[in-house]
Amino acid sequence: MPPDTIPELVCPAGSLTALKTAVDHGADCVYIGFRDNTNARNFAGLNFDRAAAHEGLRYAHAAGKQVFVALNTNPPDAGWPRWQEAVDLAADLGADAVILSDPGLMQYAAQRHPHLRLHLSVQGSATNYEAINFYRQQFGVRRAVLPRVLSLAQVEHVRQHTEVDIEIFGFGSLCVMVEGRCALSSYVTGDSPNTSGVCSPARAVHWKQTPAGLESRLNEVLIDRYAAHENASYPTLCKGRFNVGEASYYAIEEPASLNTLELIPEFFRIGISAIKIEGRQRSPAYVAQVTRVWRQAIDACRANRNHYSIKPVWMDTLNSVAEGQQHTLGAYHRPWK
Amino acid sequence: MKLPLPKIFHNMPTLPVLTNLSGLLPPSPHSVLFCLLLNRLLQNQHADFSPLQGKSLCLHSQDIKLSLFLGSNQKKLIPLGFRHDATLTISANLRDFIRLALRQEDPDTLFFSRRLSMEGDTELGLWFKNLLDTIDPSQLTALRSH
Repeated sequence: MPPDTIPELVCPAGSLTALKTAVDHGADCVYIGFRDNTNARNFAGLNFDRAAAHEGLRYAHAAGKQVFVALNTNPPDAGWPRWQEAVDLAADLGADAVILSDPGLMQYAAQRHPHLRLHLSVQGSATNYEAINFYRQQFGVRRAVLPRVLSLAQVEHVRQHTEVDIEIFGFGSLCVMVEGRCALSSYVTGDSPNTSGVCSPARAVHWKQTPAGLESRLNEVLIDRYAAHENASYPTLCKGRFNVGEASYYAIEEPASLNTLELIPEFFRIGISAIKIEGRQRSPAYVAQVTRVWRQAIDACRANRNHYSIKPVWMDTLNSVAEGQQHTLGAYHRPWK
Repeated sequence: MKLPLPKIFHNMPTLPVLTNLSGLLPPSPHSVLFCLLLNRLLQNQHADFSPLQGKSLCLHSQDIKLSLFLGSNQKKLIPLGFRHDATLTISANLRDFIRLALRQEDPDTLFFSRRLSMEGDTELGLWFKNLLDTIDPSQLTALRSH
């Protein structure tokens, strides 16, 4: 049995402030994006221009931490130069890795910047070791972020059959998790994460308080109506309540957050290289709260894996920032698998 | 000995009524101060204010019935007078606005739990939230020390 791997804690940052917050609160790595549709969190005013990315890298490296740049949307033919320039910029700035999903962009990065470390994005949608090993052979990919569709046993199986580092999601908002293959929002807005870096572009989102409740609409399509006591969710199509037959319910998925604190000892045992926290769209306050909890939890497991237990305050903190009414182990927990 | 209140004071407004009255006051002084503060905090951020140009943003404190109105020119935020038709209205209680300002709470967290609401141009709201997130914590510390 191989010795325990201590997973790196990979935290999100949508701003320089969030990056510094993540570093200060115990992240080993921070992932960021540039200010355009080259990444899957393309929101107004979010993300890093050259100067902010430069300062972020300086700050993280001074603390001995790493910065990854997500360039994980699919470049259209007409937009190819923008994606190329983004790879060049990441390499030029000294990013520790780029997180890519498009094979063409991987080839460009591998040829143009042979020393730039490549990570396969969750948007690459590689769920088996053959696919991951293919990316390694073709482009020298060093790490793969697994889509949130595999059970823990399946994650372990993948891990055992590849030399590529495995990064998994540990915490954050869930969607229907057909990552890299989801075009659901395109039916309503014409945009999808793969093409525009957003599934619910803010220009198409409208909230309105009505006598019947708070309505969320996406391009005028009613997504949900919340009663006064109900928690609200991100206005994505997959998390809406719809009339099906006689009933009105979450016909695709009920909003929920992934929370895998209890699986940390298993992640150590399996040999997971990194645990990723979702939420580049969130503010520094979220980054601080979540990073602090996960740092403490990983350190507690490292100190004594056999006596690791979850502190109630960790759960309380994570539940307080979570989307939806519930948290879940997601696909990791499938006892019938 | 406790003197009875003169009759004229028997119908004196209670505190909630007073806070309601403040909604009738011109918001400009608050908006002016708020803009001065934000512009100072944002002065080194090379912020792009164009998304707010020609639009209006209302921050509404539900409990104390106070509204601030902001617009922008190319270089900075500018205070606006009261208007019914703000492009975007963000509402929360004062305590939660303060917790947001102190970076103790994430706006999405407040939004999920229905403590913060947003009506109007959602993209403008995201821009404003992300603008505030660019303020370096050291700026806030410097401000406190003043």
